[in-house]
Amino acid sequence: MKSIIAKLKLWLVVAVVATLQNAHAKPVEPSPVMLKGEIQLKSLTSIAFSKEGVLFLADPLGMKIYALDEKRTTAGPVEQLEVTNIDEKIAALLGVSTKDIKIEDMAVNPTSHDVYLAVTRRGASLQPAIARVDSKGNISAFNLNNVSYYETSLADIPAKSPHQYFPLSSAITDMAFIDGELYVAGLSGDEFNSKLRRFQYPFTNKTQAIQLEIFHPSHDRFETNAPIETFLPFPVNGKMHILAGYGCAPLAKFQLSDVQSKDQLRGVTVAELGGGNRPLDMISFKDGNVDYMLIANSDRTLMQISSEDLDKQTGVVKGDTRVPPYASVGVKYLSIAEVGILQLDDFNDQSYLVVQRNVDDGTLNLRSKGKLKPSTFRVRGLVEELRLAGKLKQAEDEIVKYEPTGDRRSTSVMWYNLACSYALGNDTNNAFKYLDKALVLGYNERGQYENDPDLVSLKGDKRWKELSTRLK
Amino acid sequence: MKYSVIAMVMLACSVFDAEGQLSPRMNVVDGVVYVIGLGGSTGTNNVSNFSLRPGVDGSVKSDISSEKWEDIFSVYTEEAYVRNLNQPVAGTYALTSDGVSFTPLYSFSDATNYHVIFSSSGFLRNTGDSRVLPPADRMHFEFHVPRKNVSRTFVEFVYPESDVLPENMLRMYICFSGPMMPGEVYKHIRLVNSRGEQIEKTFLIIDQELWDSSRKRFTLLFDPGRIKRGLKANLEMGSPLREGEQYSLMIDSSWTDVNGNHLQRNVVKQFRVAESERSRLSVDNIKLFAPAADTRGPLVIRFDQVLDQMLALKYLTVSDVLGNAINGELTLERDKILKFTPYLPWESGKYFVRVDPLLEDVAGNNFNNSFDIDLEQTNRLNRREAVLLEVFVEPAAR
Repeated sequence: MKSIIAKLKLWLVVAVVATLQNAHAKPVEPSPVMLKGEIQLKSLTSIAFSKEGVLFLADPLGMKIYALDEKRTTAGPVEQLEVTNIDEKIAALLGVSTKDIKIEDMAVNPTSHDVYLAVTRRGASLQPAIARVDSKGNISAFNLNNVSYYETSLADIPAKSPHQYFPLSSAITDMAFIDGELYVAGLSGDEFNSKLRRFQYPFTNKTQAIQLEIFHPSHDRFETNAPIETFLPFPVNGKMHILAGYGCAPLAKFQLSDVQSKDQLRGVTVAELGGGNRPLDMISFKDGNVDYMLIANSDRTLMQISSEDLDKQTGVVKGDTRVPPYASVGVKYLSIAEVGILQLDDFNDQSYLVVQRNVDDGTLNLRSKGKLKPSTFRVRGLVEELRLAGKLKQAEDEIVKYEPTGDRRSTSVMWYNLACSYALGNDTNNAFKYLDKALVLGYNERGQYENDPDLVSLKGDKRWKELSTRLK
Repeated sequence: MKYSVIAMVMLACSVFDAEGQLSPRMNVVDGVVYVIGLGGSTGTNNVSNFSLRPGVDGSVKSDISSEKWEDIFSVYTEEAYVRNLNQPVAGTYALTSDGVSFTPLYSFSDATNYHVIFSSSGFLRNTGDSRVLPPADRMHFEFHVPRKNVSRTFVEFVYPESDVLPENMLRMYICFSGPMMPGEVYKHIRLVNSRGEQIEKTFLIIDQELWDSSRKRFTLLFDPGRIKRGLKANLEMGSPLREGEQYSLMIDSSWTDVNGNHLQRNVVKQFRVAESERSRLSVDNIKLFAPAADTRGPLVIRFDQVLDQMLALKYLTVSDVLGNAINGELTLERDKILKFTPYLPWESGKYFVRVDPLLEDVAGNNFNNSFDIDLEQTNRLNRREAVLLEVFVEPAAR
């Protein structure tokens, strides 16, 4: 044993001396340099996209973050996506059995709507991999063998350490690209601390680590130690904030301008999402002037919180409340009947995308799901009421009002229903006029048109033939 | 790497053997799958229009593009094949002098079966041959990748090494002789008291698991919620460790290393629990023992608290009066005694031991703050300037 220890130490000393010499030999690069070749990941725990389609890869074991341009154009927006047994298919693609893969993270490329899944492949060797799902549900391996990329280091190695140095163990829990900068939440195992780091992009050597403090309601005290599990930029009272979800399970807000200017910051805890739970992923979407956030949880349903409710919410503070075990307090949320969501990301205007464990049969599936937009529900209810009451002009006015900010799918369905009302009233001209609007917005399922009894009166018209060619 | 071919089953390959001119064979060598006997540059074949031509650059060319090969010839995992998932293994195709090869993007996995399907109809279709084929026109080939014969990994150290540890211990390290498979840590470690009862909810579960980059050192954290006084978990469940009690950290040998092998043996780390350590580290409690000049004897720095082994080695350095770092080797003994042995003999004179204030003891206390700080009652200190300790090496007696 002794000789092994001695060898190990000697090896470490040699390795460190070599590393340090290397570090000194290379001048510090002042501007970002694009690298070409293979990205050799040691681990991959978190991935994220910028709006422009830059893909960020977090490798906490390799202490690196990589960025590559994945901007792609596609024919048009993808409405829906479903891949059943996604874990089995990814495992088959990577050449191992299902038990040998773990899906670490998911991100949707906003430019192509392709879905990227970060996977750890066990088996002959341990390898991080990326599987990409296209709009048709085809899965391919995203090859990092020959790419152009930027990289930056996460290491905070002491500048001069003349003896052996043991690298830190650390975890990266989430990343987000906000205003031209990459924000990285992580936890270091050696100094037990939760930190948020900021990186300029393209990467320079400038980074900033912010020590965040929060009031932890179920611990009833302020602390810095709870790890941020997931976070996202979100407006509160007109100012951009970072909303951070912690393990066990406070939700806290930090004003973005403070995060950008301070080293240490105390956030405002706006909710306790209930002990024994971990928030897994968060996304946001807009409905009119109101922003909504969705939170996927390890031990709770999907939660939806509006910016209006967050605007009103004062901080949960010490003594303010005695939180019963596992109860939630603070900001109001809508509990959406979805469980088992392990990965969550925004997909398109109408839907979000999940990797979800089916509680009935245990399968793991990738699926898009419609966003619950209160304004859409209000308008759809109102339009339906007017339509059934025969007030078709008023119904049209409501749809016209809704269309500029509403989602395509809902608008197209409302145009289609309005056309049905005209068809039932034998107003063929108006019926074709509104069916055209529905088709333009992509509502084109052949079965629906051909089997809908409301449209029977149109089928003798020569315009039906033309319409029929536009169905799918 | 040797692959054993389990079975090679030909399913009605009548199209190829009509004249005996073309009979493709499959093989797997060094992790690459080959289909050979497809005609090739010299081969004559009267059943298809397929030909392979040497390119100007020495490569081989054919009329079948690499994307099309995936429709003709695919490799499947056992699971994908049996469950008919229609999802082939990712990889690249290349032409050989007499056929085509497939190299997987990620090397084939140990102790696993793979299936190769070669579609003769797909092949003929892509070569422009229009003959009608029987429905079963696929060749199936199965191979097995044996388990690597490597020595099994074992636990080399568990830190802290002491057998008496404070009740509010925050962190332990488990160091292995080789890289481990992540994702199963918490199934294989248990804390058991002297009556053999398992202590529940002891550790802080971090999904990603805290490994160093070699995956040989695991950082085990005790749940800080249970350690910090007054926190709900602490009030309800108490500290996971109780003063005066004897505990065993049980490390189960069914933990797998990166090769998929179990550990060589179970490991039990026994310790007795002493009272909590809730004070900051302080220079007043450090004793220095100077070495003799002209020797490479160690400079000894003795703490009175059980130190965090990794941070101690990271955060302590020795320099001369001008601030130049002295090169040497630092070791920690019995969790409290740091020994610095220079590579070159000491010269007489004054030296500084520099300690980063973020050095922690095993309970997470550092020079700035105790771990159990309540931020409402105490301001958190954030000093980064090194704690300096002076030591004088006396001239050697002549």
